[in-house]
Amino acid sequence: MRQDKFRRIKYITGKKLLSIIQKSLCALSRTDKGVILELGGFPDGFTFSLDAGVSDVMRLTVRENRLVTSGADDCADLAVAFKDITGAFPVLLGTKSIESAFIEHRVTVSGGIDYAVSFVRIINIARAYLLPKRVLIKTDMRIPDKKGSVFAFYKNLIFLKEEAFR
Amino acid sequence: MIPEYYEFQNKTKILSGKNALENIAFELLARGAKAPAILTNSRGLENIVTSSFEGKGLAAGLIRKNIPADAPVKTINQIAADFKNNGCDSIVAIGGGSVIDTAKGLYLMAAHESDDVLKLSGSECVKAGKNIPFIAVPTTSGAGSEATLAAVIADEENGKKLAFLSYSLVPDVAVLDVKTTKSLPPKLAASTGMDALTHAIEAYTCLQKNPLSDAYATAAISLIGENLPLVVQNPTDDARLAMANASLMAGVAFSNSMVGIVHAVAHACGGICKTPHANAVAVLLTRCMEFNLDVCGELYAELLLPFSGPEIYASTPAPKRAVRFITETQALLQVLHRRGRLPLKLSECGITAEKLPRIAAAAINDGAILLNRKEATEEDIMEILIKAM
Repeated sequence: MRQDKFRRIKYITGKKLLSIIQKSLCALSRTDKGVILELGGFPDGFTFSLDAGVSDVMRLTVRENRLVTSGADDCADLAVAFKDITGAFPVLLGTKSIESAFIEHRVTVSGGIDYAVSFVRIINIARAYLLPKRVLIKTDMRIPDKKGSVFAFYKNLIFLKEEAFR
Repeated sequence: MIPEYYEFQNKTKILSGKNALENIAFELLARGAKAPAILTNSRGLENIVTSSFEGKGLAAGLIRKNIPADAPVKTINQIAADFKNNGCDSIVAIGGGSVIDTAKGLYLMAAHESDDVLKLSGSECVKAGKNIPFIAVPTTSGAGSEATLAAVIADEENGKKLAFLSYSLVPDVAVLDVKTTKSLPPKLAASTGMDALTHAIEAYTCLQKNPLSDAYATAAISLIGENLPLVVQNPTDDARLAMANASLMAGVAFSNSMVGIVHAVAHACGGICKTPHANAVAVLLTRCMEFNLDVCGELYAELLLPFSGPEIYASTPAPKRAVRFITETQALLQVLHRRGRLPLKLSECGITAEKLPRIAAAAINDGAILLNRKEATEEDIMEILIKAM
């Protein structure tokens, strides 16, 4: 019973955290030069999805070098999926890096692994904005530089409505 | 130290030694196969296999020779169509890494009844499909593909080498017969042997390492240190079989712990300049070890024991063992260069200076780079490449 309760809490929290990460990635694709550079390597219209084992799947499409959210019907060119919420939750929470999830076989990847590597770097840039440095030093092997304004990022993240990223 | 979490799998049945080839018929029958597709680049080994089929209700449904290097997508798609049209039900791959990787591509398509292998690319994303018995017979001692979950397939249209990672790609049976590597020229024995050594070293040092992969990696390194110079200069059946076993063990090791920066850069060299994989790996190994030294020093120091033996290990002061391991590896390269004409520079492998930025840019997006213990930037890779020219 207790296990079920914890799982449900993880599920609800994970869903919220996934939406924050999705919005962060969209916001950073407008402000951070590192993310913009990475997106330059993707063809226009490229779609990725991240399934963290919560009911919502994060789906993003590259449009003119920016990330926009895409609909559930869009077929992903790169689909990263966690095998279970227990593997995804520490990553969503920020206590584990996405590389650790790869190392521990917690995820599956459908599509080009070269794109997955670039996607991991984009997620890591988002982590650098969202998490305090002392947390990153403990969890991440690689802490990327922030190549954009932190203020502009948080302004977009907090004040822009989700429709702005569609 | 035991990792917080790891996974390990090795389902392959291994037939090693004299007349192992002749037991392929039995292994196919035991798995319910009747019409195997045989993919090969060998000269005549397939005849030994097919003659053992006689009177057992087995007949080759398809024999495809002259498989091109690097397992191109187009070839795999074509063979898969022939496999279906000829009513084949199993696969026997006799050849080096490219042949076995082509067979893995074929396996994926046949098991999933797909018309394009590219649709199945990725990591652990393929579910078990139709049962297609798969037997691999390596004719080089290097790639280790006969026991790995990985296939590297060339997408020639986009100039890329794509990685396919799935436990379903691990062959059911690996056959290590002394006959298969008998005609291996010294140069190929040297370069493929260095590929096996690199698999074992990277498996032991990269981030996905675990106690079981460590056991396979160190056992492989010990066999390679002892037998690689022998198979290049004065090959005996024992030395050849030892190298075949070492290559397989290194394959099991890296199949479960993956590889690192050497392979990331070598894949990029292969994708852009068509550099033979084993040559690129041999040239890059010690340069990349020097790059990793500050982070992997302790692990390199441990490898001096299996590689060079207890006397050298004991006579080297502990703080100097890591560097000694690198110099011992360089010394082996020099021996292989003298005896087997192994290239020592990338410029000897057809790589020109103007291609280096493209290689560095491709290497930074290779999956193996994520698992290297030390973070590498594009600039770091450029530096390694320049040193290796």
